[in-house]
Formats: sequence, C-alpha cells, structure tokens
Amino acid sequence: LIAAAQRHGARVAIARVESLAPQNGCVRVVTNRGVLEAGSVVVTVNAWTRDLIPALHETMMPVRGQALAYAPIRRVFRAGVGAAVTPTGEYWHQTPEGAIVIGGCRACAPGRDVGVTEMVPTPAVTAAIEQILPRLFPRLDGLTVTRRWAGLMAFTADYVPVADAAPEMPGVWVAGGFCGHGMPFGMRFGQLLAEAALTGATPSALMPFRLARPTLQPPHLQR
Amino acid sequence: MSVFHDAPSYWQATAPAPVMSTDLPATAQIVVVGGGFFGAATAYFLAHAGAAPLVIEQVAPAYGATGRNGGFHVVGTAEGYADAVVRLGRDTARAVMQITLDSRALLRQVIAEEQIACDYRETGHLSLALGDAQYADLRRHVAALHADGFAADLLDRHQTQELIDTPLSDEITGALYGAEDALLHSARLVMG
Repeated sequence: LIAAAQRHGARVAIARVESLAPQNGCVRVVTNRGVLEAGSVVVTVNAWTRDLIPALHETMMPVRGQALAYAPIRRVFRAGVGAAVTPTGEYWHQTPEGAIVIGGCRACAPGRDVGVTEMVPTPAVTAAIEQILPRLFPRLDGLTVTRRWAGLMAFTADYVPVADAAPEMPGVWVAGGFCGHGMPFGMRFGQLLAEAALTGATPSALMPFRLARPTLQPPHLQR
Repeated sequence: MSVFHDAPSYWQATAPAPVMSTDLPATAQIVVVGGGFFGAATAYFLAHAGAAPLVIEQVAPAYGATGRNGGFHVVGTAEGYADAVVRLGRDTARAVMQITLDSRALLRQVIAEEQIACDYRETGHLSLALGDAQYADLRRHVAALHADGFAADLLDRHQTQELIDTPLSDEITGALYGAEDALLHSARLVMG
C-alpha cells in the first residue's frame, strides 16, 4: 500500500513525531528530525496514540500481544484458526511456505500484559503458546520454534475502535483502539479518515466510532 | 542488518526492504503519522485523491501491530457478535460489522488494482469451540449474525475435522466458520 501510495504521489519520511500543536489554522508537527507545518494531520499510531493526543490517555490502553513462528511442516491448516484455550484467546495460521504463526495466551501474563509497552516476548507466555497446538492436536509433531516476538495493541472499554476528530486539536484526526482486531477496519477507516482530512468534516459513517458514544463513557455516566 | 530494534516478527523478517524515504519537508498539506496498515491505507486514499500526503513513520512501515499480528483478515466485531449486540445495541453492532465488510471489498479491489503481492487468500476462518459451553456461545453468535443478515456457519466436530488435516483432541466440539475470511502477509500488504 505504501509503494502504491507513493506511485500516486505520497511521500514517506522516517522520523519520530514527538508532539502535535494546532496553531493559527495549521498544525505544528514536532519531530526528532525537525519541525514542519501541516494543514491537517491524521494520527494512525494505535498503541502510541496517547503520546500525541494526551486527552485519549484513558481511551486507548496499550496491551502487549505475543506470538511465535514454527518452521514449515506439511499442510495441516488451510483456514485461519482461533480458539479460547485461555480466556484471552489464541490464533494461528499456516503460511504458503508451511510455517505456522501462532499467538495469544495473554491470560498467562501478569495483569494480562495490559499497559505493558515493551515489545519483547516473555518466557511464561511463549511457553504457554507452545502448549496450544500439542494440546488441541495431539498427533501433530515436528513443531520447531524459529522466532518469538511481541507487539502492541490498543484496547477501548467497549471493544470498538475510535475514529473521530482529536479533542480540542483542530485539524487533527485520529483512529485507533482496534482491540487486536484492526485488519478488517484498515481500508475503510483509511478511506474515511482521508475524506475527513480532505473535507474538514467527520463522515457520518464514522458515527459508531465517535469518542462521545455512550458505551465509551465511564460506567457512572453510561445510559 | 535489521532496522528493527526489537525481535522482528515472521512478517517483518520476510517482507521486502522498506520503501524509499525522503527528507522531512518544512510544510505539508496533509500529514499521516504512522506507517502501519491503517496509516498506509489513509495515505493511499489521500494520494489517490491527488492530495500528495506525507507519511511520517518512526522506525519502518509495519513496525507496530500490523507487522506483529497473526496475518488474519476476519470480518466482524472484536468480541463475539451476540455480545456486541448486547453491549452496543443492534444498530451500532450492525454498522460496525458492515464497515468491516465494506473494508474487505475495498481491500480486494485495491490489492487487484495495485497488484499488491501479499499472499491474500480467502481460505475461511474457524473459531473453534472447546467443550459444550463454548459451542453454545458460537451457536448464539451465529444466530445473531443470521438475524442481521450476515453470513456464518456453525460446524459440528465432524465438519470441523474435515477442514483440519490432523486428528482433533476430544475437547474440540465444533467451530464457527466464516467462509470469506482471509489470510495475508501483513507486512507485504503495507510495503506493496
């Protein structure tokens, strides 16, 4: 998608955005490689959102997820598979090369890895992940781990992502809080946030994802 | 040498080298902060509309959750659909579900138009049930999906076994099957 975007005229810069400051009808974008002025900004950093939009600190909670890959084996799984061996769930699929990528077992981490932002896997969780396939498929053998990793998700209180204008930051749009389930939102959210940035108005299709929805308010304010 | 400070995922380790980057300009009409799937999609639609956006990514495209996930495209709400209906109300749950179907249609279209080689394949997705209580839960979700006009199949243990080429343990009682759900290479999707 990035190469396709570049063919249509997008540019890509590698820099860490440190803050966003709306002023005089534009947005000052402060990075570790310099400052620029933007007409509008779309924030698409999910677990890192609260670094740039402090008002969303409580809305999108970073949560660490862990996964590993097994070396290629014969074709066993064609479909993707999910299961709830632990309460937080597991998932795996076999790639065209025959490798199996599997993750989950967050329930085996202290505090379920909620609020953890170090992108490193831990022995307790990866050991639990390694027990999933042998438990569910007792005849499956030859599983050899080739790599282990971790990543950051962001969760909202009602398990629905946010997509809206950033609070009190004119010219800044934001979406995130995909709750470990962002892939099926990415394209349409991209299209709708592009529309928001181009028109300056929130598309009506984003109503279910607004920050002011009842199910996202603190419990004592709901209903 | 890897550009990743942390242990790279299977996807990050098997994706092509990151795209060419430019120096930071002094001004830009529209900036997209973040080079994951959603940021790349936003930049794609902005560029397609002629807006020449600037993407600013802190480390590399697909450095965050996109590049470290399970490689799934499974439509629907993050929690089971019947639970989402109770929590959100039926109209909102249906709207969230519909967004994911619309998003899949866009993904199919753009992958074809831009010839993005990301191993996208609609293999179907199985959500397994372990024991009778989980099977009853899946039955509830399938009923709620059907009531709102969405597709899903409830498979019994025998039908589930037919889709997995190794014997199932006794605790697997069945599955919810989404026939059009897909698998993909997340990092190649973002780079492509």
